[in-house]
Formats: sequence, structure tokens, C-alpha cells
Amino acid sequence: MLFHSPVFLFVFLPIVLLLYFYTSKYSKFAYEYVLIIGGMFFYAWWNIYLSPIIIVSIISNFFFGNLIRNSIQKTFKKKILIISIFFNILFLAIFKYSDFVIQNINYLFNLNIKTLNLPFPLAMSFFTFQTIAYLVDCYDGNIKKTNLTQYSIFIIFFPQLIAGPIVKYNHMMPQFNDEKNRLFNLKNLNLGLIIILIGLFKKIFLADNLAILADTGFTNHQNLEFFGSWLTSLCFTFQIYFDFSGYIDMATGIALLFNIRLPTNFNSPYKATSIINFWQKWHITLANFLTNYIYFPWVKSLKKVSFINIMIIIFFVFVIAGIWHGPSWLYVIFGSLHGVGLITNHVYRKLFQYEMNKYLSCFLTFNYVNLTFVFFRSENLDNSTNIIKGMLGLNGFDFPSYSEDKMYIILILLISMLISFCFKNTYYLIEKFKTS
Amino acid sequence: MSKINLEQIVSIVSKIIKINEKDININSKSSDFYKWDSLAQVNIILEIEKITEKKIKANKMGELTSIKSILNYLK
Repeated sequence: MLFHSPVFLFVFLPIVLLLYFYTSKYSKFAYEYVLIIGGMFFYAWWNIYLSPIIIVSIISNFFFGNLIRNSIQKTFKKKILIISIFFNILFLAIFKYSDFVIQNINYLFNLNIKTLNLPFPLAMSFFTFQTIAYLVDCYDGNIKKTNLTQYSIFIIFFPQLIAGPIVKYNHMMPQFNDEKNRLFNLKNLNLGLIIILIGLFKKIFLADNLAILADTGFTNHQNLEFFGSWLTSLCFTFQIYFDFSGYIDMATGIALLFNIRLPTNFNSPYKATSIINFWQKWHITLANFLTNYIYFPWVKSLKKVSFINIMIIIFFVFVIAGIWHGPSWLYVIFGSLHGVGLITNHVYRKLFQYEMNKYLSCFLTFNYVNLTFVFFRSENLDNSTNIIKGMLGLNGFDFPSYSEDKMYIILILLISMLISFCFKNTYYLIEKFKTS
Repeated sequence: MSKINLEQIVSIVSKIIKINEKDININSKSSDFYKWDSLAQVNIILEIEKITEKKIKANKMGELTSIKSILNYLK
């Protein structure tokens, strides 16, 4: 069930919302079951046969979390943490990366091992990271009390289940446990609906239209010259932003209908003045996860911390970020390029005191990001290199010949640019109309 | 463990992010300064560890991103 589908907007959401507030009047705990059953139904709608996977994950990780929290012996506690993280990564790897590994082994050793063709369970990448964060928080003593119902809500709360933001237990549960949040709030309803509409506009009007030109370009990459390549790459760069941030807006708006505030995930990323700054604005909850649960622990584990060591860690953290997006070498290239971008930024800051002009640095950062998204979207390396060659003018300078019915997309691209570079974002709106 | 005060924390942050001490106060936080990035955060924590002789856990590093939070943590 997608957020912009009529069945979600006009049937599922109103029913769950009504039940949530109605049952909260009569029972202190009924809302928990409304959210769990609603979340399970939402998840199972996509593929009922794969829904047991999330149930297994919830039950086993709740058990792991309890074992970690209740262990007195530090070494045992640490062992359980390592086993549970390994279990989650293995679970994700089997479903998401097994065929990728098999294909690479076949290629390297000239073998013919059959791929498993396992279906990929929806949202698994997101709830795996969320679960790991939960387990580490249990280990660090940040989660004092929980039960299976509360933990289930934390994982299965449907607004953020499919594509994030990646939330932390201690950010969410106090909100669910606040009785005030179970009372109908007109102000939140209004603001939530406005944010859902903004998200729908981004997704349906901007992203889906930009996708038409981006898809055409990436499919016919052999024929793209200078202008066509730039249009293709720019359309995709704005498509992915409005698609993802539109989805996050809808998630934020839907959560707000339940009086729940999700953390900020996008903060005008294309206004970033460096790649470091870009990752402070793009998919913020993923960047926070990578920083807090991989980068800092990795740096702290070093015997001798040096600038070079840290740069190497940054690079590999972004390789992980790349592969997290999907089982493809192109995602590894995408992550690596961002790693290189960050290293370049850090080296520049270390060597030079000179601060580059804000608009120039924004222009450079945006174009670098645009280049990395060519790899992100491409089907294969040939596809990427053809488009980059085109962008560099190596395939000529003719204007592309789009059919008339596609010309309006260029106007949509201009609107997208205007919104991204000149307008304030959704979170500004939320802050402005602070929810009660 | 050696104690650390507000002036010392401000001085460490100022030295690492290369910002004048006068521009940093108890309410300053990482998002106020573009140079207070994740690398600067590591360096700030390492410097504080050196002065206070107190090991700061990795899981705390992401939380100590303001002068106030550092001061409260070390109290």
C-alpha cells in the first residue's frame, strides 16, 4: 500500500485514525493494538507471504534486547550484542545480497552457481538499521523498560515503516506513551494534512513527471548529447529528491495525524555548500545512524587516531552507505564518490582557511551530487559513462528531440529547481506552526 | 579525573573549529558552525579526554554536540 494510493488515503488511513482515537477514549492500551494490527495489515498488503519475516525479526530482536538489558556480566552482554547485530545483518544479507554475491563469485571464478532469486522483504533495510540502533541502545543502558507491545509499535508504526526516517526508540516511545497524544488534536490534523498535500505534490506532480524524462534518457543513453545528458541527469537528481522527500513529508504528515513527530530527514539538501554539509541535510537519519553507530565507534576503536585513519574510515563508512542502498556495484561507486567528496572537503578545511563563496560552493556541491546520482540511477556502468560523456560534451551538442507531450517536463524541472534552491522547506513550516 | 570548566571547553572548541572564542558561548551547538563537523567532533572529544583523563564512550560522542551538553556530561 503506497501513501499516495487511494486505498491508503481514503480507506486505510481514516479507519486506523478513527480507531486510534476512538479506542483511546475507552482503554489505555487499545491504541497499541490498533497501531500494531494496522501496521501489520499495511505491511502484509504488499505481500502477505513475506509478512512473517517482520514478525520473526520483531520477536527475536525483542528477545535479544531483553537478554542484553538484563545481563549483568559485561562480556556476556557484549557477546549477545555482537551475535544479535550479526544475526540482523545476516538476515538482511540473505534476502538482499545473496544473489549479488553469487553473481560476483560466478564472474570471478567462472562458475555457474544458480541464484536464489529470493524476494526482497519490504522495508528490511530500514528496520534492520532501526533494530541495530535499538540493540546498541539496550547495550548502552539507554533503554530501561520495554515490552513486546511497545517494541512492536516502535518497529511497525506504519508511517515510517517502509522508507524511514530511521527513528530511535527513545525518540518515539515517550511520544506514544504520552496520554495527551492520544487525544484528537485539530491543530496537528490541519498541519498533518497540509504536509501530506505537500508530499503528494512533490511525489505526483514533480517526481513522477520528472521520472518520465529521466527514464527516457537513461534508457536511450547511447543517443544522448550534451543537453540531453544534462536534462536526463538533472531530471533524475530532482526526481529522487522530490520522490524521497515527498514520501518523507507524507510520512511526517501521517504521523502528525496521530500526534507523533518524526525526526527531520531532509533539510534543503541542494542548498548544501559542501558534501559534508550535504550529508547534514540529505537523509539525515541515515547519516546520523552511520555517524553514531559506525563512524564514532570505529574511530574510538583505533589505538592511534590520525587524520589519515579517520579519512579511511569515512571512505569505508560511505561504501557501506552505498551498498546499503542496494546490491549493485553502482551503489558502491555512488557511496565511494561521496566518501571521496567528504575526504576532499576535510582536506580542504585542514589545508586552507579561505572560505569559498557560498554560491560557488553550492554550485560545485550540487553538480558533484548530480554526477554521483548518474551512477545511482544507471542500469550499468556503460549507461553511466555514456551519460557522463554526454554531459562533458564528448557526444556532440545537438538539442534533444523530445516529443511535444514531454516538453512540459522542462518547465517542471525549472519549478523543481526554483523550489529546491529558493524556497524554505517543510520543516520550516512545521517549526513555524509549532504543534501543541 | 581532572575537572574542566566552561572556559576550557570553549577554548578547545575554538581551537579545533578555528573560531574566535568570543563567538562561542554556553548556548553554542555544532549546527551553529559549519566547521564543527563529525571530524571536529572526534577531535573535540579526544582533546577533552586528554585534559580530563576521562574516557568518553563512542555512544556519547553523537550526543555531546553542544557546549552545554559537554559541560553537563563532565559535571
